[in-house]
Amino acid sequence: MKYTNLSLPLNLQIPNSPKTCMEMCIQPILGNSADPSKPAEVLDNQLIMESKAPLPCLQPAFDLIFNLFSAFFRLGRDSVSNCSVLRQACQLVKEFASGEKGQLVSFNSELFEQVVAECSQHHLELQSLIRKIQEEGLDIQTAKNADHYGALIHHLAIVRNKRCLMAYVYNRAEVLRNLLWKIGHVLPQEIKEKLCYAEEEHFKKHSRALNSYMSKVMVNLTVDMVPPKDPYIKVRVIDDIGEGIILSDDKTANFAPHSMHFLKRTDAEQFISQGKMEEITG
Amino acid sequence: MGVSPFSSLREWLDQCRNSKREDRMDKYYHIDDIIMEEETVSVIFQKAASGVGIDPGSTMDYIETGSKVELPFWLAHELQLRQAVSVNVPSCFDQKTRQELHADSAAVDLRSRCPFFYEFGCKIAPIVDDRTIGFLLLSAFKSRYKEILTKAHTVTFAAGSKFWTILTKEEINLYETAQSAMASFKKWRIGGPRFQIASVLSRKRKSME
Repeated sequence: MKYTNLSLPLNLQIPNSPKTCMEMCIQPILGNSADPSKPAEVLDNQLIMESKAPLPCLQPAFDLIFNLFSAFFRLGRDSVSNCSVLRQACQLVKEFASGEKGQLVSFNSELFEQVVAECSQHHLELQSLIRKIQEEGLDIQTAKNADHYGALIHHLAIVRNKRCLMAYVYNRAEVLRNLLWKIGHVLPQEIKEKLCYAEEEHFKKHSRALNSYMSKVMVNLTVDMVPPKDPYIKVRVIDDIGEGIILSDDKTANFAPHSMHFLKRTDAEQFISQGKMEEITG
Repeated sequence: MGVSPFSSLREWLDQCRNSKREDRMDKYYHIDDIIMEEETVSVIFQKAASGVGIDPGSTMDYIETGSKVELPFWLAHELQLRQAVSVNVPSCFDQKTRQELHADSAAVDLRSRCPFFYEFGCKIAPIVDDRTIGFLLLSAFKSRYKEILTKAHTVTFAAGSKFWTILTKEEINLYETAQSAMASFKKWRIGGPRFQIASVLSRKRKSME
């Protein structure tokens, strides 16, 4: 299911603002009880979508987040744990923060699922409270009794969990996209192991998008990240690269370990950033 | 200009309001902002709430009016906006901290009190009725800032590591920025390879050796 098919309100505020918050919390639930034929996933996805209108430039990132969430929401629905209150979500974010800047730790799908399960649990309790208010014959918009505040707390917990999940996925995706610029289109195995499937797909798609853009404008954007002083540089090979590498002037070079070369900067750059060569200065 | 001063004032106010909203939007994905909002504050419930197990003192899932509960900031803030709770001044802004800061601000261990002392202070100030928090933050920051910058430029890493255990997260960011600025300046003066292995990989390599 593509989110573009849903008729989504594009101008909704972020779920922090006081007024819209409660309305948002009630809207999907009312929709649910009024129309039982509507699949529950749609409502969940709606909740996810509300905070951000999709921008075309963020399409790949958005796809990633969307895929992850729809996958996990289905999981979470079946395995509702008896979580007490709202502590797991921040753990996920803290785990991301504990890694060094620009580095990735393994995707913690276990914790991710727990947080989603927590959301489902809150969602159930929220529904039962709203139902209780309705059964007492009170108007949901105006009744400000204990049940209302209980429901509010559950709603806020869901919004918070959602923010943590979004931030986790979003920031990881950002690190991943930066890797593309730093070390090129092929990720080394030790980084690949830390990604989940959706992230790998995201990286592939992003790489493809960048390639097709570069071939359209006929400029290789990934080279010369440091402004060059000279088009040629001296380098020493420090790791096994292999023989018969074809350079941009259609000559082949033999990069044996510890050999020194005088190369076009653009040819050497990818090997240097992958740690297979080093620049000789002085 | 033929425009009444009031209309421009109104525009200005609108701008302020909009920029505030964008600020909130901006920080939606901020890792530090999320962690900071997890700081607990103690609140007193002005309204009863049912069906939630956040009060450890009660066995039932019911919070009575007037009960005192520790809540994370994000929840306390939203509930305060709806007048469901009143927020107490968190302990990191208590009298003891103030006195210590007054005596020798640079030596106070702010990190153990609250790792986001300033940001948290800015968020908490408008929702508690204590008008002095703003001044406290400003004076603490002013006097500590000088110390941080001097140390960042002069202290070597090993000696500095003890010093920065008492800094808040915001101060550490400053400290690191100052240090990296100094490092890049030195590198620029000496010269050397301008193009190096991506930082993600170099760390790996070092640990393998």
